[in-house]
Amino acid sequence: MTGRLIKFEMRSSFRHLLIVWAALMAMTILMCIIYAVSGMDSYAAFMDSTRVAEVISAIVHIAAWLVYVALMVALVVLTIAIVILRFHRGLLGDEGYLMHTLPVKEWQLITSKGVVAALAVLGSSILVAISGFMVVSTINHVSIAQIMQDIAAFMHTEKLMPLLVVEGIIIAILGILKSVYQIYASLAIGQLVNRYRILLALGAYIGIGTVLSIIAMLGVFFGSLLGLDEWISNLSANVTAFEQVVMLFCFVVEAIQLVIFHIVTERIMSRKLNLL
Amino acid sequence: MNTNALVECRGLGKSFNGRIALQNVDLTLGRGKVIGLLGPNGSGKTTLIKILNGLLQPTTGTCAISGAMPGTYTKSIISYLPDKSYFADWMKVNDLLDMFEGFYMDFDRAKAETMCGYLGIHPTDRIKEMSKGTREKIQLILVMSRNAELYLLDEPIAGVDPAARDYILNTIINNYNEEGTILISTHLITDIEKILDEVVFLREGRVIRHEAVDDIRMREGKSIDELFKEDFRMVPIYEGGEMR
Repeated sequence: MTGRLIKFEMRSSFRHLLIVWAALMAMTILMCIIYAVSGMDSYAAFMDSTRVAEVISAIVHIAAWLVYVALMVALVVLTIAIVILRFHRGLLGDEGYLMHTLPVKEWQLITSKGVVAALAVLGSSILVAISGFMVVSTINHVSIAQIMQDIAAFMHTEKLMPLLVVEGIIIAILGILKSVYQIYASLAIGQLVNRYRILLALGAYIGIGTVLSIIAMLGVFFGSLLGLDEWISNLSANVTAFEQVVMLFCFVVEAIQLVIFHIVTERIMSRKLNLL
Repeated sequence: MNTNALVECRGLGKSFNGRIALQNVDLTLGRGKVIGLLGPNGSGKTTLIKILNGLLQPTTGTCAISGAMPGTYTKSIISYLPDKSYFADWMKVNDLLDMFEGFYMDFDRAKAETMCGYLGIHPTDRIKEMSKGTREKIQLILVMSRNAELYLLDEPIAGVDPAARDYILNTIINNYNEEGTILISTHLITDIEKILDEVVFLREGRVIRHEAVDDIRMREGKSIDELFKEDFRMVPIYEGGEMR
C-alpha cells in the first residue's frame, strides 16, 4: 500500500516539477551554447566588426542570465511549495478526506509524502548543482575530460575519500528527510487548533528549531565538562578515525531527529487528527 | 461491544474550543438499513460522521464499527461521501478509478465505469474541467460502487437541483450493498423520506429520537417531514422563542 501511495504522490508532486526541471536543463544547454559561441575566434572577430553586434550580444547574455536565474528561483520556490503544500493540502486540507479514509496506516501516508518530498528536494538540488557546474565550466572553458580528471584526483587525495563521499551523500539525504519531517511535525502541531493553524505551525517550526539549538548548546557544554573536547583533540591526531567519528555523529544526530519528527507527526495524525 | 450491531456509540461527545458539537451520544445502528441522520444545520451530523470515519477524535466516549474502533479495518468497510470535493484537480477519471481499485478490495470498477458511461463521463476526462455537479456525481459513483458494510453519506443532496437530487437518490438506492447500512445525513427530509427505514434526530449534539420510520407513521400518523418540523420548530424571539 505504501508503494501505491508513493506512486500517487509522485504523480501529484512531479507533474509541475518535471516541467521546471526540463526548462532549467534546456536553459542550461542554451547558456552553454551562448558561452561556447562567445569563446570562438570567429565570434570575437564578428564582435569587433560592428557596434550593433556588440549590443545584440550583450542583450542576449543579459536576457539569458535573467531567464536562467528566474528558473533557478522558480525551482527553489516550487520545491519548497511541494514539500509544504503536498502535505498540507493532501493530508490536512480537502484531499485529506480521501487520504485519511483510505484503509492505510497514518505512517504510510506520512512516509509516502516524506519520501516523495525528499526526492523532489534531492532531484532539484542535484539539477541545480549540475546546471551550475555546466555553466561555470563552459564560461571558464574547462572541458568535461578535465573535470573528470579533477574528480578522479580529488577521490585520490585520501585513501578513504570514496567512503567519505558516500557517507556524506547518505548524511545529506538523511538531512533532507529530517528537514522535511520537521516541517511535517510543525504542520501536524498546527492542525491541533481550529483557528490560526498556519500561525501555530510556523510557531512550532521556530520553537522546534530553538529547542534543537538549546539542546546542541547544552550538549557542547556538558560534553566539555565530561572532557569530550580533550578526547576529540586526541582523536584528531588520527585523521581517518576523526573523520569517521564525525560522520557517525552527524548520522546519529540526523537519524534521531528524523525518528522523533516522524513519531510526533504520526502520533498526532493517528490520535489527534482534527480535519475541519 | 456487540458486533451484531454495525455501529455502536457510547457517551460520545465532541467540543471545539469549548463549543459543544456532540454530547453524550448513545447510538446503536443495525445492518441492512437505510437510516436518515436528520437535524438542522449545526446539530452535529457532520461531526458524528467524521468521528465514525476517524477524521475527528471524540472528546469523550467511544464508537465502534462492526466491533472495531475507527482505524484501518473500519476504513476498509466504510464508504464515505463527504460534503465537499476531495479530488486532487490534476486527476483524470481513470486515475480515480485506479486509486479506488488499488486501495479498496470491495470496489466494483465495472459498475463505476458503467455509471460514468450513463452520464457521458469518459475515463480520460479531467476533474478540473468538470462542473461542480459532475464532480459530485463522480464522487457519489465511486462511493456507491463499493460493496461496503457502512455507507456514510454527508449531505449528498444539499445544494443540487431537483433533477440531480433524483439522480443521486436513485444511484444510492440502486447501488448499495443491501447487507450493509446507509447512514445519510440531511435536513431535506421530503426528498429522502420514502427511502428511509429508520431516522435519528439530532438537536444541539444530542440524539433526541431514534426510531423506525414505520413505527413513527403508525404511532404518530405523521410523515417524517411533519415530525421533523414539529420537533425542530423555531419560534421567533418576539413570539417568546429562545435565543440559541
